[in-house]
Amino acid sequence: MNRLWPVALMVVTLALTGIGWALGAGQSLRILTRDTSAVGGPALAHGHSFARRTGIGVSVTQVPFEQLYDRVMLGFVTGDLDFDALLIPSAWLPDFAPYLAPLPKAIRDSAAVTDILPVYRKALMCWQGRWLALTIDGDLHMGAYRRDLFEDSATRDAFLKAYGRPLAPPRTWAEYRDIAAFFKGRSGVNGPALAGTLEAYARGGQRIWYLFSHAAAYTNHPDHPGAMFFDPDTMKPAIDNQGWVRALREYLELRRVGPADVDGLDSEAVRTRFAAGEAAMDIDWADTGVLAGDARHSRIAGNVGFFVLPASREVWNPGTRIWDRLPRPRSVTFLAFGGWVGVVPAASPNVDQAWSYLAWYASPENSAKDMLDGTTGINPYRQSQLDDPNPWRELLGERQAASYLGVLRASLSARQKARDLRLPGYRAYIAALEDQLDRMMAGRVSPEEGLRAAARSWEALTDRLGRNSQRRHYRQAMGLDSGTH
Amino acid sequence: MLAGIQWRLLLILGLTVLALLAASATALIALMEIRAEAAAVTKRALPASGAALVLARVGERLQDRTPALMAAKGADARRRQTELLKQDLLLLGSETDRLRHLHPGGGVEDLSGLAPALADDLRDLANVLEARAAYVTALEHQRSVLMDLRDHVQQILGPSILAVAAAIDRQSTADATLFRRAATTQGPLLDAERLVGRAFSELLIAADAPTSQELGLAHDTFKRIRYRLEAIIPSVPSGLRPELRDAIGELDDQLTLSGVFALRAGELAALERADRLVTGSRRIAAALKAGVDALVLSANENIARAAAAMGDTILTNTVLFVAVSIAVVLLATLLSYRFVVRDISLNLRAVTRAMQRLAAGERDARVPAMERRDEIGDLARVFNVFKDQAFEVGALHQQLLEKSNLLVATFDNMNDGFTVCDAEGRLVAWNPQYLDLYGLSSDHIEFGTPLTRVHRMLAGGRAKVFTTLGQEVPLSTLAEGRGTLKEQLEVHFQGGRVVELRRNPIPDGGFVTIHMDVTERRAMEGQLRQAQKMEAVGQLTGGIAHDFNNILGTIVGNLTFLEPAMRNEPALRDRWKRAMAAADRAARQVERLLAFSRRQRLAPEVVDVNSLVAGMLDLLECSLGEGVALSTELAPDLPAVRVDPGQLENALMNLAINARDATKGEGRIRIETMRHGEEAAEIAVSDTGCGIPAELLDRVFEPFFTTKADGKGSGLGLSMVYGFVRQSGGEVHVDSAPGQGTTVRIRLPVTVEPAGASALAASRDDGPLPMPRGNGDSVLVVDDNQDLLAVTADQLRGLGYRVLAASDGAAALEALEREPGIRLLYTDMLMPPPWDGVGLAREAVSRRPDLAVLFTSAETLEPPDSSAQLLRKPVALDRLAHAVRRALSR
Repeated sequence: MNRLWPVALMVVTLALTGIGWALGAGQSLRILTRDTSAVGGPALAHGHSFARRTGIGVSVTQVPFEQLYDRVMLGFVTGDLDFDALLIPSAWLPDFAPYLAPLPKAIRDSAAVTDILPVYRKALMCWQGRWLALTIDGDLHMGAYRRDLFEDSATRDAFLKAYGRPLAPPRTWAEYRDIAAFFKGRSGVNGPALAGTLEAYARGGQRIWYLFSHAAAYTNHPDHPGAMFFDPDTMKPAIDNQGWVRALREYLELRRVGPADVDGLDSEAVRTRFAAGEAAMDIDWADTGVLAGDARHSRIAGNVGFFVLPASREVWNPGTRIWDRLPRPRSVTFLAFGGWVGVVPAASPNVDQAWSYLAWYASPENSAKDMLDGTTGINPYRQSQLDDPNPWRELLGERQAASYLGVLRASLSARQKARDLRLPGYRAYIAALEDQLDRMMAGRVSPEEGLRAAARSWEALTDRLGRNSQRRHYRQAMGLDSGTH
Repeated sequence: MLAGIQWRLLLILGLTVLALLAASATALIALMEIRAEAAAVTKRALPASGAALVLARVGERLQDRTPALMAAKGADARRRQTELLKQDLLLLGSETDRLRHLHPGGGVEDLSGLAPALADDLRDLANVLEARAAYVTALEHQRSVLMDLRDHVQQILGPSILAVAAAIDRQSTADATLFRRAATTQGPLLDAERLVGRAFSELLIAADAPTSQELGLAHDTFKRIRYRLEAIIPSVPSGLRPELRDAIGELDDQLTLSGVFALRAGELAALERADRLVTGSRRIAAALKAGVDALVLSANENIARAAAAMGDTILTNTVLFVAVSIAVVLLATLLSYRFVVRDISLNLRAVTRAMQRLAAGERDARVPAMERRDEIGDLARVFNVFKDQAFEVGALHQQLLEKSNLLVATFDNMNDGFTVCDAEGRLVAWNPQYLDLYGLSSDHIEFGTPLTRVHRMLAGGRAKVFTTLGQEVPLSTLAEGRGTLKEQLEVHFQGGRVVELRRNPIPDGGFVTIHMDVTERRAMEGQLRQAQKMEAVGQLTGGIAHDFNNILGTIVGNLTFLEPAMRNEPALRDRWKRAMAAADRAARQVERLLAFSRRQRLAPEVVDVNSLVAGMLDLLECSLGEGVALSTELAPDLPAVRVDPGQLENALMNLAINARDATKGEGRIRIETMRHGEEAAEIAVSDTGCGIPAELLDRVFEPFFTTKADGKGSGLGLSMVYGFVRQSGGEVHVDSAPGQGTTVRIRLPVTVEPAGASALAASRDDGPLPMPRGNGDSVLVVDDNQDLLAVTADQLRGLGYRVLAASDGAAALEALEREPGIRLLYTDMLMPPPWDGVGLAREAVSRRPDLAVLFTSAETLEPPDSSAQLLRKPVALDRLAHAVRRALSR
């Protein structure tokens, strides 16, 4: 597959040269995305290289993540979105779909796109049978831990004494909580007092996917596929069931083993502070591995190990409404956030050039570099990127690379993978849950009450957006029905 | 001819049957008439009635068919209803024709025109309903299309509306200009959403409009909304316009012929026509039903008339038949009574009276009618025979009863237990002694109690069973296979009681067992065996002691003879002393043996036992040592006994030493004296020692039997006590059990002689006297033991006598004849015939009346008379010297 990348690049370049440039002199492509180095950083870097290759200038506008959706959506609604390409979370695609230009067939059929892993290709790029986006990132949640601490004999002895079992990477959520509690307040090897683990709790800091990751193992019953968020037959919300209540409680209780400013942590803080050696563990996107394992950015490089999302032996059965006990603990991969995609507004006067830029951004050559840089926010999303261990070894060393790739492969090949929500009104659904999460974190309502209130909001949204259509979209997103109709 | 009762009864029955046959023939004729009338009714009235009923049912159903048709849901249901309608109309036609034929002029013609009219109406109705159903289906389809379309429009507008609303709510947009512009787009978006909602509402209202006027109003409203929607499209975000325009364009389809308005109008028209048809068909169906009801009424009246006529006929004939039957039965009853029942009754009563007399014991009770030749006569004769046999049986029973009572009395009064068991080993008879013997209560035993259960009860009482050979038989198997064998067994109970069983099989299964209490007999047999054993051992011991005494006599004699030579040989004198001491000890052992074999010479005298015991206490305490506590309890009224006091002291000392050894020097020893009945005084020596095992108790008196360690005891102590007591006419008993201590009881016969009356004074108190010497007197020594003869002769010569020796009686008499100077005959008492010591002495004294006689013997023999002197071998030199001197000086 690696040998196909130059060919794919040639196809894109030929496409560019074959199209007459509509941009006038001094004009440049306008790109809108978030304001962090993650995703935004490569947008600038690849803009420069794109300009050098094509002579077409690229200007990148960056807005805070929490304003990005409004900025785009209100731009569409008012007809005032002065951008040629947008780098957005894939989950927003359904909302923006009416305003977007289709992905050119040449790009869609190129080897660079067919190399993308299935869970990140059609599932993220297509909406209602229309190819509207190009995947630039593949997301899932995983765990990382401090191998130096876990292998320290005094620490191991203390843990064995306290818990009666050897200290090892957590296999279940219960073990994860025990280990986090054990490390909370202990000093690292010659270091300051540690947090047990790091997870994001800040609104606008992508915290909601951490909650989803906790819920994945409890709410994806093997006999009821796709029932994590809604009942796929009636579209009644499932987020107020006991599986969600338990996940939420545990997620909130873990704040006690976090740092003092735990409520202000966003996902970027999680991975940078873990890399700074402030915690024994963290849960995050795959970025955390590259960042913490890379000696250029990390104080703990060389001492990082990884684990798949912890498992649970109990799973909530939405049919019988009781907890079922599985033969053994089961981990459920959560494709949190799905990944980032590039889209082109239909109203752009430079649709073709914009797609060329996005194809350059996502080219195998660029993405291979980006995924090895923890600051880019780009995680592997191509099969070839997982198949070739050499770049990872060079970056992370033999041991870290083996652990990192092992967890990625295990997560992506897990029998049960929970997909993220993806349907019109996504942002509204998430906002409704976020509103209640604010109240629950502030202690104004109990988890049960907060989740019930969120479920009521979800029910109203579903009615307003058309229950039958929403049901159809949800079933497609969960992989229950094919997505072409 | 008709002598038997049986014949008389047959005749009466025959007559009765004939009469009944006549009555039945009459009834048959009547039934034929009824049948003819019933056939007439069946042929005409019933079919007419049946047809009328069918018509009535069809009429009722036709009335219900119209509403059913209206209510039918779906084409299939309507088709089914139409089919049923057709079938009912066909049935109406055919049944009307039949009724017209069976019941002409009954108004059937009036129905002929109504049925086709109703059929036409209902057929039209079915068609109209079919058309209406098509409209309904089309409307349902349009509703579904509309719902999808509404969903689609919501999907177009929804996300944008939500996004704008959220942005406005939170006011989070950074760009204020953008925010203001977004706020201005919210109005058109919400208007579009609202208008689309109203348009769909109007369409749904139209689809259910109850009248054409309301349908028209909805149509106008929808058109107005449609125009306003068209007008608002340019105001919504440009990205949404194409899709929204397409969706609104699809709404125009609802204004065409296939739209909701046209379809609902068609459905309303169809419903109106259906209403009219329903009203018409109901009217026709009602008329049809009225006509049918009239027909049914008429047919029913015809049937009622026919049924009444038939009922009259049946009643008349039934009354006639019943009357004839009653008359026949009455006649038969009268005849039976007159010729059978009365006769039998009279005779049976006579037999009954005879039987009652017989039962009362009247032997000469006679039965009448014995001369009759019928069944009554037979009964009377059989009774007579029965009566005679009954008296014989009674006599036999009386005899048996007497025998049985005798037997029972015998069993009940015999001393032994008695049981009878059946072949299965169950008790069928037993006497009270049986229960007493085994300690059973009559509650335990009943007729048929299995022997195994009795044996289980006995096993609980620790009883053991032995054969006559002493082999133990398990009690549990006692009942198995033993019924066929003649056998004898013994049951040993824990308390020592013994019951002997003698079991004899009974020829036809089972067995009889006699149970005898043989406890006393076995005890006596045991005692007898013990006494015989002790007697035999005593004789054996005595024989050995006799021989041994002779040998000792020789040894001592020779040693005595050697004494003067030893005086100047100190080394040899020591050896000589040891030999003499050994010979002395041997002599004392022999003394004890003789004591056991009751051949010791006793010096009995009247003894106060209490004084004797009291006098011994110091000596006993010294001998027993400090560890032993000695106590006594002496009965004050103890009578005197006649015994050798020295030997009694010896015996008590032996018992005390034994007791001390049994307590291992640490314990208590008690000596008691008491009266044992009128005849005996008892001395009991008890200890708290280790006791003697039961199996050794029988042997304790045997010589040389000891339980002490080697070298500790001679085994002759108790033997000596036994021999002494038995020789003194008493008894010795030992009570002992391991760990419980031992008590030895000596019972001695009470004497009436006063104390001190003993003829023989104790010689052991004699102090040492100087050995008297002879002065040449001639002494004739006779002994069949040559060695001893030589020793004795030498001793006497050493004492200064002239000695003649003879080895038998003949030689002695010859010496007497030959030597007239012989003054003393010293002879062994036991010698081979013809001359024993006594005979020889008697002969010698008869020839020489002045001859002194001195006897000697190794046996414990009494002197031939009270004046005679007897020396027991071995005879010490000093005793010999004194005795010879005393004899010569008489």
